[in-house]
Amino acid sequence: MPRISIRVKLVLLSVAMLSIPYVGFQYLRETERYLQSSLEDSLLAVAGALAVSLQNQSTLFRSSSGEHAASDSLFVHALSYPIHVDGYTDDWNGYMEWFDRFEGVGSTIDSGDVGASFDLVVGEHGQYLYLVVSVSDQNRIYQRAGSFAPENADTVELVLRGENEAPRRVYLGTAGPGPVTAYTIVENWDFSTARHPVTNIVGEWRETEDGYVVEIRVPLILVGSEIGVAVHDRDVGSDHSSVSTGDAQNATANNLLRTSALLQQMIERVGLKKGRRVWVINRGGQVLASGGTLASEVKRGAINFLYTWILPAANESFEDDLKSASRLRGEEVLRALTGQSSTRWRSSPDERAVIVSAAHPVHAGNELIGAIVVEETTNSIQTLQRDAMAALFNKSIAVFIGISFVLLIYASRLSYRIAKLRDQAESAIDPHGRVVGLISGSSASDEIGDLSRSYSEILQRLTDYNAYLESMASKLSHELRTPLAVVSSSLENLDDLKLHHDQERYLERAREGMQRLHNLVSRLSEASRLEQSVSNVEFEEFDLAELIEGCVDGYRQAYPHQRFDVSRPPEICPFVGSGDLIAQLLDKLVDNAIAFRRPDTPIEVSLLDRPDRFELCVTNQGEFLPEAMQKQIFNSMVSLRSDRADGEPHLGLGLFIARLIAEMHHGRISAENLEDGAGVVFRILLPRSGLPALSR
Amino acid sequence: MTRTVAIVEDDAPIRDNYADALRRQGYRVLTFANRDDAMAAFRTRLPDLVLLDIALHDEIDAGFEMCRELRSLCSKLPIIFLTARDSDYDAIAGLRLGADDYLTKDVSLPHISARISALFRRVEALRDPTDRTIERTCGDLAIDPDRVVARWKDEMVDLTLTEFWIVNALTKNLGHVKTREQLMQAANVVVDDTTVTSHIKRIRKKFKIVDAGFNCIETVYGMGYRWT
Repeated sequence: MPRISIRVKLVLLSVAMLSIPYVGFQYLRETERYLQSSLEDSLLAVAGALAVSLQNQSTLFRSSSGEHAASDSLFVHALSYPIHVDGYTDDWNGYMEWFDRFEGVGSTIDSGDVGASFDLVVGEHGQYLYLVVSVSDQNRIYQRAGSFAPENADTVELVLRGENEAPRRVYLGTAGPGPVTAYTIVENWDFSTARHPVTNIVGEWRETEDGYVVEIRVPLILVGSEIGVAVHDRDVGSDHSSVSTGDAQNATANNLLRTSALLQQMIERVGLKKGRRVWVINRGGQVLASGGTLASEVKRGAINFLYTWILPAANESFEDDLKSASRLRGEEVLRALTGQSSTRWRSSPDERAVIVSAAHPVHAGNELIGAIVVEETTNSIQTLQRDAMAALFNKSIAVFIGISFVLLIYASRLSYRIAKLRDQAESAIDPHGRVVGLISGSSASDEIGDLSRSYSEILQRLTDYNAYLESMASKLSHELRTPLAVVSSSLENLDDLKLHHDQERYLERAREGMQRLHNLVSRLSEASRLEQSVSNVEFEEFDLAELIEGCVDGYRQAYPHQRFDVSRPPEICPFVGSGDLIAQLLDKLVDNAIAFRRPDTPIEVSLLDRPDRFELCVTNQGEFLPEAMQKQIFNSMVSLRSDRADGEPHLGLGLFIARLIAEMHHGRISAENLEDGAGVVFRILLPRSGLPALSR
Repeated sequence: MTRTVAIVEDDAPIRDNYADALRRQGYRVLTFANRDDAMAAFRTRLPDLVLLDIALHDEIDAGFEMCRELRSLCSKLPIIFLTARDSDYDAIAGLRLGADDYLTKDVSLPHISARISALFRRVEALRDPTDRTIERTCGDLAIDPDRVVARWKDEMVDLTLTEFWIVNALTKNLGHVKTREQLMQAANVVVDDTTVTSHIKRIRKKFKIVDAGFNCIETVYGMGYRWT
């Protein structure tokens, strides 16, 4: 597993703080719902208030003539520019969708033709009334020369009724697509009919895929306040049908419904909030007046693209589905027209904005005369939300950075302290497991301080214990010496008494035992005496190579049957130290090597002259060293020797002494198994430079 | 003339064993278990030789104190420390206070009596410096084994008994290396190698006091020492 430091962990934990903006975001969502409902409420309230102010103003909801049902009125769009009468509806852009559709009833089905129907859009600009009549008709039949009766060809009929005049029928028929002339039919005295052109009505006939379009311009003087439109559809054979906006037979005209200037004024006087739009509609859903625009000015701060990605900016350039609407058909409107106020949410057609509309019915007495529709986009909410979110995100990021920084500092301090403690603990104990230094307990009152203090205490105890162990040998030897002296002096006194032969035998055995005890005791005290004598050791320069050769010569005499192989550098090896102690060290190693060698294998003693140190190796073949013991064998009272029948006591002090001597010379001692596993090599590194330790 | 040996030792069995052994040798033996009794008696009359234990009951340095007091009473009184302590430090401290020898308690009774008689011989010799009987010379060294006295370039070298016997053994067969075991036997001590090493060191120092250029004792590593 990869190592992760406390610092990294804490910083990772601080990432949890990133949940703050998430929670905030969720909270903003909640707020959005609340804001939406409050927006709904306020729209309804505005609609209601307007409705109350328009209550009983039924005259405002009627056209001037008032005798026709409002639903039959034709809505006149106030065009913002004059229309070019060319049969193309391009310049009706934005108005075409507000057509009224008229479908014939009782058309002849057997002809295979669907009943005639047409779409009508009416607009006015300046002194003219403009009409677009878009007829769906599979069989376009044009007038033949001389035949102008509307029954004989496809004809558009207008019923005009000027101020205080009788209705007048005007026909627009043609022999082919192109400009059409309007005419009236005059009955001659002989009941024949004649065509009488009406020159100030301009028309253009154009074929479309499923019928034809007639664009007509009529001077307003001819129209007055009413107009009727009828389409006569002549089909193959003698089939003929006609569709009218009113009653074609009786040549009735329809009211022209214009946005009411009075209502418009009233609405504008209310002083609408920017971004709010109000519609006043009559019972048929036709628009009587409208005011205000949906577009509001949104203050746009510099907002990070990230926030834009999370929550898109309110878009003021959305497509408005009700722009220049003539008739409102929304669900809320329909409900309002049944007397219930309601609201509706919808998206703009391009899905860029959400529009809320509230509709409220207007009554005159008990009669429903229309409704008020108030609309607003949710852009203001969205903007509010975005601002709140940006603030929230900015603040939480600042807090996050702040807290991360603090955590980082804290974690760094923590890991520094722990690392310091670790280093102290590591350096307090040397590879041999001895306590070489103490941790100064930290004064900090927290857990790490506690840890440091308890470490310090543990080390102190360990030191005491080690000291106890190391001094045990010398204490033991000291304490044993007095009783030993009692026994040995008693035995010697017995000696002088000239005992019986049998008694003498036992005395001899007792003396042998005493001798062994003496040896044991002096070995026990050897190490401690060595430590004590360090202060008296005098260091001198001597030839290490010569010392080793001399020592090995001595061993050859002491162990005549043992082979010793010596290798040494040819030149002299000047070394500053205690020759006696080095010789003693070698004694211990050779003694150890002899104890563990396989019989009849040589013991190898070699001295290597390295640039900065001497390397003294004693190698023997034989049992190898357990891995775990390689460092411990240099400790006091550790021995691997099995009980051997040589009668010599083994206290595990020999290698301990060897280590003491090596350390006195600033050297190191180590034991390793040979690579081929055939034996063990003890290696002492004696640094050439620097005077040996004079005291420990 | 019967010589008086005083034993100051708090351990009764040892004290009695030593007293018995010395009595058999013909000495008059006084035994003391503590410092006050001993000092009271010594103030009245000094013995001819004192065997001193260093630690007496609870006073761990009582022997040293007594040694100092006895030396102030009589500078020539032979004093031998006989103690369970075997550290070099104690040995040096004891010898520095003017003791004539320092023995650990594992030394045998015959060795003790050999030392005592040798000390008496030396006292005799010092008392009567004109009587030089057998004296062995070895270069600048003159040795009188009977009186346990060594001279270097005619100057007395102040050796303890142990040291004297080591020097004596070293100079017996010139050019031969003496092992530590041989030296120990010669010195009537049973100690380990390091003790011999520190004895040799002290011997060299004592000779150097007399003659700074002294370097006759050669260390033969792995074997022992040689007088050259």
